[in-house]
Amino acid sequence: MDKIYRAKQIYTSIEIPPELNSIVASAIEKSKAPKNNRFSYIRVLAPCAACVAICVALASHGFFSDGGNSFGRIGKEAEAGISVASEMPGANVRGAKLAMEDTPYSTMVSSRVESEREKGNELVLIYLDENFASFCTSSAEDGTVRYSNFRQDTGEDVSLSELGIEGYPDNTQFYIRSAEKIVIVDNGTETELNIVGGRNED
Amino acid sequence: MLKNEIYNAVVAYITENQERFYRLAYSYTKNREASLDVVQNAICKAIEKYGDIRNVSAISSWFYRVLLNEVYAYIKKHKREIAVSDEDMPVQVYCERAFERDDGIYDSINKLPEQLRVIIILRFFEDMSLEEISKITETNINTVKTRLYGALKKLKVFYEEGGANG
Repeated sequence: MDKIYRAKQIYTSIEIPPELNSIVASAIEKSKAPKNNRFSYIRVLAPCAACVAICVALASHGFFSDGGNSFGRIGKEAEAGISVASEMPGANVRGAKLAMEDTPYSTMVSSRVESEREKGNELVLIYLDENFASFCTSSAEDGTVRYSNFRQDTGEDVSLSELGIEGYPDNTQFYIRSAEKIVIVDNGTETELNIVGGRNED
Repeated sequence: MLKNEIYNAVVAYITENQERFYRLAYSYTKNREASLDVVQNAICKAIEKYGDIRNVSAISSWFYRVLLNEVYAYIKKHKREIAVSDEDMPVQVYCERAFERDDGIYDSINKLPEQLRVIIILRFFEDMSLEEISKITETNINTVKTRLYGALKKLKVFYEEGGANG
């Protein structure tokens, strides 16, 4: 049994992320909201502080919430690898508004978000960088989940072939996970593909 | 018991034990973001369904069941992820230090069939009784015992074959 207890030491030494507490508190708070007005979480892999500010701003303006209280968890993959989730509950609305006005691509994101919300769809922003944004929407009518991906500069949808991925039908569901990876979603199963130089690395 | 009382008890339980939930999720996903997702989803589901609970003493086994279901759902969903070579991976700034130490027995536990592995984790890592494990896994207690002994036997075999730390 000594060996098992040694294994337990490894298990109990798993580091707890500092944002766990705020995530738990947010999940509890958000789950009290009616389901059709609830937003699961924001998960953004944002390469820069401006992108993070957009999400904070959108949340503060009620785009992702049911009453103006921001909710979500933001992970920031940047040189510092810092998670900013702990800043979410106390996001400064005025500061976030200014950040949103300053950012050139915030308008495209917010207009797209607003368009989806007008249809009553629940929306999750799952990826955002200076070129692309990926959303997951849950239809208000039948709960169908779909993904949409669009260019930041034009607001136009981006296709798999434009990302250098060939061999999939036009209606293939996918989302962008990072600058190097996309995820094909097929009947709930996710397959990750690398994008290197625009070629399909599958 | 009043529904409100159960709700408050559930919330208190979740808040107090969140680190344990994260560790359990991480032991399966080996990924920080995924583990946070799993815990978050489990909490959302639990809050939705707390009305199913009839008394406070059932909260622990009930929530662990919800959490494990979320873990399994995550694993099932992501099992088709394609492995990438090291040179294609971006430089990772964040490093989960706990798993730098490679102990043969820990690897051996991870290699167990899931039915056995979960019992080892709940019994020895989460310090649960066999009765609690029986409720969480919705398995007869005698079956839990059988699986526990089976797992310990297998671990002895794995460990000796690995010849790691002896």
